[in-house]
Amino acid sequence: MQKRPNFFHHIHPPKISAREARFTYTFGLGGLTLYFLLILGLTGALELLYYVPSEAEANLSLQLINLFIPYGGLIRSIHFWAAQGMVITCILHLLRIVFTGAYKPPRNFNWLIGIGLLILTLFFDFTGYGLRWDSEIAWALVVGTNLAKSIPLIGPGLYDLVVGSVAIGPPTIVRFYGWHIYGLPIFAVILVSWHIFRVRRDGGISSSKEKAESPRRISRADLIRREVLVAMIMTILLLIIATLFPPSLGAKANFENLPEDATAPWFFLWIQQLLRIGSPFLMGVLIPLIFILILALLPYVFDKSPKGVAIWFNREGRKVQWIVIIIAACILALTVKGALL
Amino acid sequence: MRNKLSKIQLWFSRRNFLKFSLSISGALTLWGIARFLSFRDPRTPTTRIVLDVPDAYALGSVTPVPQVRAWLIRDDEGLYALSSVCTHLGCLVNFLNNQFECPCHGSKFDLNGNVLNGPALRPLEFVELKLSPENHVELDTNKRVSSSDRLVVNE
Repeated sequence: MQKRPNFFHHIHPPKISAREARFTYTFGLGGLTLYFLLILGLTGALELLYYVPSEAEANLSLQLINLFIPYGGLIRSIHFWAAQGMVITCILHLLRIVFTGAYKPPRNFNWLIGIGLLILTLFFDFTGYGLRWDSEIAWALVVGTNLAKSIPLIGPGLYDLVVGSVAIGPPTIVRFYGWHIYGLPIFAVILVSWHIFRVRRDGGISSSKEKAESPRRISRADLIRREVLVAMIMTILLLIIATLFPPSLGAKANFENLPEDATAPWFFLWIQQLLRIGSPFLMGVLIPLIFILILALLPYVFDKSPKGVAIWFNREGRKVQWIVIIIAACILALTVKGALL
Repeated sequence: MRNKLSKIQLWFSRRNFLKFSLSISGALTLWGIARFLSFRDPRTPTTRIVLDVPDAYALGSVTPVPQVRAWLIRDDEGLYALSSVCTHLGCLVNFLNNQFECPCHGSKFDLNGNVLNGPALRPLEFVELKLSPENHVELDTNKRVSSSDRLVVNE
């Protein structure tokens, strides 16, 4: 009786094309994102043992993790840096997919799941950031929740749901905690498994039909060896960065006496800059939503041709590449402006 | 031979009965969940505070009252209070260079709360000031007043 491949074997087939397995094609970005997610799951589970999700004790319990628990500061630092790394690899992975035309049919649906995962990552970051409950995140919490309130019709209800009171207070941290460790991970597990499953279901890593003459293929063992190598290099990097640059932790947040400086977390700097220009709903909700909508529609409206897959900057996908370059340039410029101010 | 089914019996087929009970129980469940989610924590931040006697605030002074997120200001006509909550996205304004400035998105307001510089569109809110029975200034940020209201100081 022939054995059906298990999930691990499903995503690691016996042989895959050597051209598409090259590091300079994928840069291991999808795999690295998954690696960061696993690290986040592990370090997060450890932090759960000491973190107290209450308005009065959250900040104190983090100080305890930082100062008294053996390796507590390192665990928290790894969690922090893996989260930053994941935002970066997510975005780079998206850019790689765009510039090699990997979003094209039949991978267009997996592209949508990927967009969902990007949004999920940002929600993870925001809720995790809020759990610090220190003076540094107080502004972001005020602005983020008031942005939700600015949405017409559903805004006030959404605000009540997220904040749990008329103003940020004890119920808010419990809700952020619930979303960060329970609500969002449920979506993450489902979407990540689906995303990886679809990679194989759609024919493996995007490969070029036009350039498929080269029959060279690498074996499963070779693929796994490469994955392990990249994970090991990243582990070393992560440990070095986490040791040298521990994340800051301010005093307990006081929403009556907020600090004078109010800089958003780096991945939301561009939204903060947008908000300086105009109304909260338009700049803080609508424009980001339009960006996401445009991204989601790329393989459905702007480039439906299945040609040019796996070719860097393929001719068929020029329009899509320009759209993404313009969006990315806008976000990057605003981020830099926000960082320098 | 079977009796002909009445209209009611026809309607109460097994399928319709199940559909009916499922939609009722589903609607009741949704109602319950909506009620469950609607609870708001009753603990609210303080909005009322009793301050010093009116004379304590000199002409032209701008005093922060962080406990209730407000600024107490005295001009020629008397005392008034502005909410420090920025009308753009709810950050608290600082007092710098004789104007109020929002640290989040850079809105600027003059001493009367008027917008000097966007992105805020509405002026800062005037909030209620009155004399307490002991002749102290009492401030309530929950109550809005008109921008011409003043608490006259008799010296």
